[in-house]
Amino acid sequence: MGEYANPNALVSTQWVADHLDSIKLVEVDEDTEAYERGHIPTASSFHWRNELQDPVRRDFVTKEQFEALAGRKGIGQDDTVVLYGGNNNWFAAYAYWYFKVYGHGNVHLMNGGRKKWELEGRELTAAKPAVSATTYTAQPADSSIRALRDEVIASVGVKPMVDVRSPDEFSGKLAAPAHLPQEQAQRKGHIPGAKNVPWSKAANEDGTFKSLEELKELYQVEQGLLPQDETIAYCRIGERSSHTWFVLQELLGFPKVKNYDGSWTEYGSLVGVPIELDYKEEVTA
Amino acid sequence: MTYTGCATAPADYVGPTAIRGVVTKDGQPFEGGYVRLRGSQDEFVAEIRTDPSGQFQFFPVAGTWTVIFIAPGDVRDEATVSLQDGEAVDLTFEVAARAATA
Repeated sequence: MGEYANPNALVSTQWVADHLDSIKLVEVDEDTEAYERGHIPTASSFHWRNELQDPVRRDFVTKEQFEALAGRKGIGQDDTVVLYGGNNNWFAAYAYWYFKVYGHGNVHLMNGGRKKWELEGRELTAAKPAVSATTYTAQPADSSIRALRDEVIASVGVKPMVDVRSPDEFSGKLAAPAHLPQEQAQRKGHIPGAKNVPWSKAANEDGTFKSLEELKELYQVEQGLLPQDETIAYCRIGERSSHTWFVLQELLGFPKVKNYDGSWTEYGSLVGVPIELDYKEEVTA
Repeated sequence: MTYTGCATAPADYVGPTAIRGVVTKDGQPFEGGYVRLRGSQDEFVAEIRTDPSGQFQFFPVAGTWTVIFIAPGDVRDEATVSLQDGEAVDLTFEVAARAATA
């Protein structure tokens, strides 16, 4: 089996179990109460909305806010940070992308996330770790891995885009994942020309990532994406597309991939932008 | 692991189209199982973890769906559901004690 482009981006559940005392382990979940009910010993948590999003503007946290967050959690800029979470690491991948945006070099995802840890019958605890606050210094935000609205609009039909939502969201049948209430963007559908490669195709049933060969087959052979493409990944709010960004950037080694965290909740609410809608029953006279 | 039943919500149900369910073990809610929803072409749609009440819910569109349940100890079962618009279907799964503790 071939080796991922950046094999250090992933660590195994066993590796985490063996290094609990020497790493900064952080759980990031869609279910924000999951951590309170039980988590891997020594892990702290990030609340994806309250701590990774600006409380007023729709944007992610600034450099100063990220520094304060990491400092509160006792993370130093030279620490080995390992992220994991539920839903096959959706939000852990989102947090990983944040750490990369702010220049943290030594950050990893636990392959398989919380699910694999649980399915292996490993220990969970409700006890919170003792944390000594640090002074964390982030790097200026790396805009080369983030796509914003105007770039996305200008890239329609120009740059490859990967819509990583489910087929029913892509076609316009649904506006959100099938386990969430249906509210969100003003319009359904997808960005014209986007390829629908659901994030889940990159994951095995136990939450681990598919092999390098399988990922190459999926993205490069079936979809025709090229490593040098300036590919933009998007979903609904930017967390599932972080999972795909991670696959393209870290596992396949594409150097110019951007995550569009505004995603469909932004694009699908914009006035005057082109939309493709495959689910024609949704169109009314 | 046993898939023990499927029932449609009462005719006066008002709410989103939904597949809901509960997982129990020895008659108690089972937390920490994983429930996965797959579409008619076997495509992954969503996955959630059972909460302390053992419950899960999805809000898919009308159609035929496969619900897969997995839990520690190689526990695995699945059920197929045909869902109408505006309908809520309730599933029950029971984890056999020996399987869950294997």
